[in-house]
Amino acid sequence: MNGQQQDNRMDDSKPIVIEARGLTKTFRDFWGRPKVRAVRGIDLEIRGGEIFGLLGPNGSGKSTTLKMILGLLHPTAGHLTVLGESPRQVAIKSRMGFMPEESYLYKYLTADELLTFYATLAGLSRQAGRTRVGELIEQMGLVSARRRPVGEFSKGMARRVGLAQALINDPDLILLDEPTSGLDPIACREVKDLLLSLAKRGKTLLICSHHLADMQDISTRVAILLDGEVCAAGSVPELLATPDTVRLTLQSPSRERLAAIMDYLEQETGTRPAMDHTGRTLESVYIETVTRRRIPS
Amino acid sequence: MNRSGDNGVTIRVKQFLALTGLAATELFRQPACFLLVVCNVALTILLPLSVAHQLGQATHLAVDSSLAFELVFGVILAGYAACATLHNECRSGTILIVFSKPVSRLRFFLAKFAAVALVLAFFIYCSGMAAVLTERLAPRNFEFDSLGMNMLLATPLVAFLPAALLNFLTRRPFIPWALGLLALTLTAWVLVLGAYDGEGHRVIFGSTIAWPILPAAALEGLALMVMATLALSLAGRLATPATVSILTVMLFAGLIADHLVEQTASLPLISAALRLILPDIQAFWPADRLAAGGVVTLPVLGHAALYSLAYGMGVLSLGYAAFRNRQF
Repeated sequence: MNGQQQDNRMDDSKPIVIEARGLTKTFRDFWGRPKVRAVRGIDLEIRGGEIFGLLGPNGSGKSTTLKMILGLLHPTAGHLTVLGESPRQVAIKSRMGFMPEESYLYKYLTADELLTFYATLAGLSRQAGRTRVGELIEQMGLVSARRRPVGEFSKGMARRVGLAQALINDPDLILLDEPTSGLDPIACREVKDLLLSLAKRGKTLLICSHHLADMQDISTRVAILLDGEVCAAGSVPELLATPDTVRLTLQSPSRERLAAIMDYLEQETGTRPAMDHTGRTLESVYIETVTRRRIPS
Repeated sequence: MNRSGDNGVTIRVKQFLALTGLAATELFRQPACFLLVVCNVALTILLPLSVAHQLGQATHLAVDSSLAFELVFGVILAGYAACATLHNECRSGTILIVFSKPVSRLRFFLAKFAAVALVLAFFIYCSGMAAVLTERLAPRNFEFDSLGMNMLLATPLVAFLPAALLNFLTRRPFIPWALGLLALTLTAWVLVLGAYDGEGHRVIFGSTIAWPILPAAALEGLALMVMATLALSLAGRLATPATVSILTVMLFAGLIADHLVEQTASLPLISAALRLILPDIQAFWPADRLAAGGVVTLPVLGHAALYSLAYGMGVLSLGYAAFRNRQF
């Protein structure tokens, strides 16, 4: 486990929001015999204001870990505290928000009714709930669909309702399972911007995802799970860095000047440096094109 | 941290009401619940037409049969409703979001029971009204009250056509409106037929109605509430077929509970266990009392209510103990 590596990059001044030590979950069969060991003694320490990405292939233990943090599954062994309490304490849920991988929604309720229901469960007063529902409906771009049953929503719209319910109580800790799944690139960018703005406001986010590019964009730290164990962990720049290699970016040098620089670098380092053109991402091209088309002016 | 301004008790009450309201709304939209209520009412009000009931004991047979229908359909409805509201919520995953909010499992479990009890109370009301009507319209001296019978046969048209129109014109859900209109229609028929005799003459209101059937239906309703506690306790772990099967076995074992306890009198432990475990359904069966010309008095209802409360609380406690540790 790369706990030491993680600790190097953590801001120790921030309070610990999630702390797991030797967290283990074994699913048992009807007779109580161990069937699957989904999580095997993982250590995690997530501090306030972080966006922590939990990555890994299917069946690696991401969702199980998330459910243990929510108190929906009970650890077989190890120690776990969330916001300084046991995750089985109901009271701490008023400071948490959760968006599951699938959009588990009551399909015959409208977006308004559904969010009002969750606002009541979150303990908001009628007035506060109404205001918060209005804000979230607008923030998620659901104003025109607010009175339609969520069963009629597209997958992307249902995901936005799912995200809205996770934020209904303005939680301090937000757990998201595949938050950008099913969203088009523009909605995806909007959600990522929203998550970044939440982190700026001091919220802590724990995100499980397969969308590595999205995680790279927004995560401060990530852990990669495989077969229930943490295989790699650390800050994103740290994990992405290639040891003993640096990249120089130059603004439109002339052909002659570029050749001179390359010759100089070759002389200095003893090897011919690699050269490529920095390109835009497909995401930025897509967003630019669609936005330009939608707003011709 | 309390961001709402409400105190803890108010928040808990609001959560309970929101959970109960949503669960009840969901149940009142279930086609299976609709079919069970409608089948029970239809079979009950069609009883007077049955040839078997024209042998001189028509009213007695009609009342007995309608009470039997209430018990059988009610048990199936209790099992189905409990599973639809609890087991299906666990299976569909909506429970994950509910439990990510500050909602205790006990509050959630009790809210689900309240929703099932509401649906059963509605069923018992419709069933009681239908039983009153079937007794009123059972042939006397081999003659039908044709006006009353025609009114009853028009029930589907009066109750369901407006609901269908509402659905078509305003997209309001058909089933809850149809059920609401069915209850209203049955009540209206009781009020209208209570003012006339079988030959269409005005009489003192209610003089032709066998009112003792209503407390009898309520007594059976208490038995159904007991079965609902069993159903919900099972639904925390089991799916609909298993839950309904076990409920059916418990119903029949409960009906012969006295006999089983007597048969095992020589084995005191087993006898005591059977007395404790099996619901005493006979204590809720009112047909014999009505047949003997008696009525279900308030003390009888009170005694049955206390028994169902004690038994129901015991069963719900066990059910909650099993549900509390369930992992999702």
